[in-house]
Amino acid sequence: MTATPRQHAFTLMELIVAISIASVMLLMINILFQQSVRAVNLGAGTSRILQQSNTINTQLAADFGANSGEVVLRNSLVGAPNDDRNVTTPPPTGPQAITEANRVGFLMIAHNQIQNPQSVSGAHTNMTYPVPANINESNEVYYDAGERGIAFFPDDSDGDGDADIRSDQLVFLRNLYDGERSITPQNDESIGNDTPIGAARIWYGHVVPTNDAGDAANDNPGATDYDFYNRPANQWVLGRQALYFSEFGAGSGPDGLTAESVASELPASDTVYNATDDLRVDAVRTEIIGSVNSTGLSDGPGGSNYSADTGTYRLDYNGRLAFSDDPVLGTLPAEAPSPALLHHGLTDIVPARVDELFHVADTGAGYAATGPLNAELDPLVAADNSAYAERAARLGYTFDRLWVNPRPHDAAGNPARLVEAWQQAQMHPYLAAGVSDFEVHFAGDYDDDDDPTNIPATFDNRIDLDSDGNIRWYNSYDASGDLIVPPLKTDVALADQPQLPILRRGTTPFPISTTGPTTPSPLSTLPNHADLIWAWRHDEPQSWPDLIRIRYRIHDAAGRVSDRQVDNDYGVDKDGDGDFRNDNDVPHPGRLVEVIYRVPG
Amino acid sequence: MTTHAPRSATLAPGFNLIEVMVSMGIFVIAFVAVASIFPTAITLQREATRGVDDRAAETSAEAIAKTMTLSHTADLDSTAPSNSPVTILAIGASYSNGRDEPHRIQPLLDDLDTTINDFEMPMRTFGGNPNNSVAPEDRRYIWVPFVRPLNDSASIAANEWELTVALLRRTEFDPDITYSSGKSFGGGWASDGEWSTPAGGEDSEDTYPGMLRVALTAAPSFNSTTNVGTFDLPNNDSNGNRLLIAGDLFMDSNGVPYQVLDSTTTSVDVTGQIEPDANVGDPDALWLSPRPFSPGTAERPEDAPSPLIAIFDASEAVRP
Repeated sequence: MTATPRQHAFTLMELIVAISIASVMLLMINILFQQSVRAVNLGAGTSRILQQSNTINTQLAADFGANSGEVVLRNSLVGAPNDDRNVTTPPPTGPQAITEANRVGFLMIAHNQIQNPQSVSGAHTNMTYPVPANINESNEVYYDAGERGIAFFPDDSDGDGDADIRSDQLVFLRNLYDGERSITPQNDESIGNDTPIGAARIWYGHVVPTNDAGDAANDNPGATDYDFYNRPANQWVLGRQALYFSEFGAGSGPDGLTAESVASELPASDTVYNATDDLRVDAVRTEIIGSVNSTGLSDGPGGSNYSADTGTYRLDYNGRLAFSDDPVLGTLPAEAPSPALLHHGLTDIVPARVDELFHVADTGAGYAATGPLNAELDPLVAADNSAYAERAARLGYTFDRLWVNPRPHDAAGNPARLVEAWQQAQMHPYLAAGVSDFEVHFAGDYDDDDDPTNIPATFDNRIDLDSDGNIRWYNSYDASGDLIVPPLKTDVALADQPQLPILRRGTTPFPISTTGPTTPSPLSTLPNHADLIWAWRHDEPQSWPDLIRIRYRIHDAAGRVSDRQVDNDYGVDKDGDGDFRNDNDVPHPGRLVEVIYRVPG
Repeated sequence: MTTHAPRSATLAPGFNLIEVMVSMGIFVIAFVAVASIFPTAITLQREATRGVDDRAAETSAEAIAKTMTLSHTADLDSTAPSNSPVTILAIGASYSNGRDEPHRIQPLLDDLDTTINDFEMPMRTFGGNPNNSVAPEDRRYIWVPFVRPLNDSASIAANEWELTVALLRRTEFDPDITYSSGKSFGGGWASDGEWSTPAGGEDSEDTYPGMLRVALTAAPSFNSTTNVGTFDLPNNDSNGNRLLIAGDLFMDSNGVPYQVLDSTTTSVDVTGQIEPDANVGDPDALWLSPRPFSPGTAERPEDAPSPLIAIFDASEAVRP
């Protein structure tokens, strides 16, 4: 009998070695997998941030003329601006004062610091709050399904112990580019060949996203409603709106305006021009003089052009949307259109002459001072800084935030119903998602002696510097958390400062520098969405800033990117080692982007 | 008696050590190949991020530089130099260390005295400073101004000054790239060339970080067949690293900007002919910003970005 050969089994040592090798391989693969996932996620988030940053920077550069060399901010509207701070340009005093040289634009910066935004309602704890139900959690307005994430708000930039967010607004006039047209419907009788639009009011700031139907649960987040504020940082939307001023008519008056054109364009029954309007230049008429609906039908005055079957709405013959019978926008006043058209994002054009925004009306022949528009604007001829600043505030969205509809479609899910024109209009201001902080700082010649309480008798025509030689960026916080402000006279009310018109919220504590003014009583007319209004008068171009610095904090959709991951220049150096790389350091969420533009002068 | 059927004698043997080692070797090679993708991807992403930053920085630097005021009468010596060495810059100090020549570009000199002037370092730096709390030398970008007069008459008008700005990006916070000096954009170069700081003058790192002047060893040449102009210079440091490599920006001593087409340790090629200046002829030196050392080494990796990211004209800052 021969011995049966036994099968050679693995020895214990072989098994141990094999298992060890397999374990090492698995560990390495696992590490690789984890790093791959992290890199892919971070790369996707970074790509989105870069894309959004490019969009914002490109648009800003275009509006400021930074790339083209074209002076667009206040070029032809300012004529030959006087940059010498020691020369005072007197405001126009009469009809003859209306010349090309003093037809200037305006500039407004609204400072808004929202304290502790993620916990003000008390309903949500910091950083774990859900997306509010009224902001379309179910329809992925902003983000792809499954990709929605939460980004933290930035830490306490003003050093007061609370998390905060900056929600500034920037408003200025811009000449339109050659050939640029209104994006609203138009015909020859309004924005056609004979009635060119010369300028647009450019606005940047945070907007209120609506639901698909174009409705916002809360269009006016104020002291008692924090739905807007409770959104995660990566759901804040930065808006930009070009509001076109149609210069109607062509005649012998200033800018070719005739009395006839004013009267015909603005019927006597027009009730828009009243003191309660948010924006007095909102001259959208209440009467439908003639209209064409989207199917090509036309009606006479007063005709009903809303089709319940198709859901289309009429347009008046000047290309302005009419909503008086709009069932969706039922919250609008019955006598709509109204100023709500503006802050609901439903129009991009108002029939107003640029020079009338702040300027004296010509009382000469052919341009009657009795016109409704002139009647409203005339008082600004002698407007004090307070009135001027308030008017500037109304040219932004400081009373009511602007609505945007990020993804308009029929809320009822009716595929046969087309996206309406007004829904498209609501899309226009949508610039970039995931922008939590939006700060606007300025630098200029306001101080020569580094004494913020002293307005110099003469100016050196150089940008103000601090004692270390750094550019003094007004409207930003210093390292102590104080707001950096130009020198202000302590015995003069804020709104009547000779430097520039300023409005300050009356009751809200605000960290004005301790070296700044405390004596003047702040005004109480400031709207909800601004703590402070800086406004530059059209008739004092020499007081305008030289540089504007814009900073925004941008987040990816999933809130994964932080400053530590993208770069290492920002953060909280908690371990005090001089960098922000150590594990003990806390990176700021999102990515802080900074770009500086020159104010043409 | 029951007997068991014999088992097969052809049972497969286990892997031997050689087989295991070979397979492991193959696996490791594949693993490394796959893993090597990620550093590349991260590098590309970082470059993309840097590109977006740099474009915004160029906009910012141009805005600041053109807004600053360089007084034609108070800051610049408008009395024309006609002989070398001369002083053409006079922001509180003379600048004469043997390399001054009329009509060559010269870096503006900070006096850092009690009077704060435009064009000093704090206002020439930006980025990385929330709440303005970051020291100037730790900010991300710095722009370095150079000026030269455009004629050699007895007096020079305001519009006859040329202001050229070089924009540099600090990369010392880059986790992969560090500089040998905390404040320097190049660091450790005093013996290898002339930094844009007067010899024996003020603190070089604080005053003019980043720009290096390297004298040419011959007049520029031009090959019409290949349409390539060539600067001859010692294009290497003491460790054998090239100063300029393909893609780098630099400018010559006449203020003309170029981008490197190709380079060796003794020459730098650019596209096209190198035109002489009407006043001073061919350039005699190059202004450049060499890439930083790798951490702890004397190597300047060629995949690291050069600090010099833009050169632009800001002559309108010179005001009457």
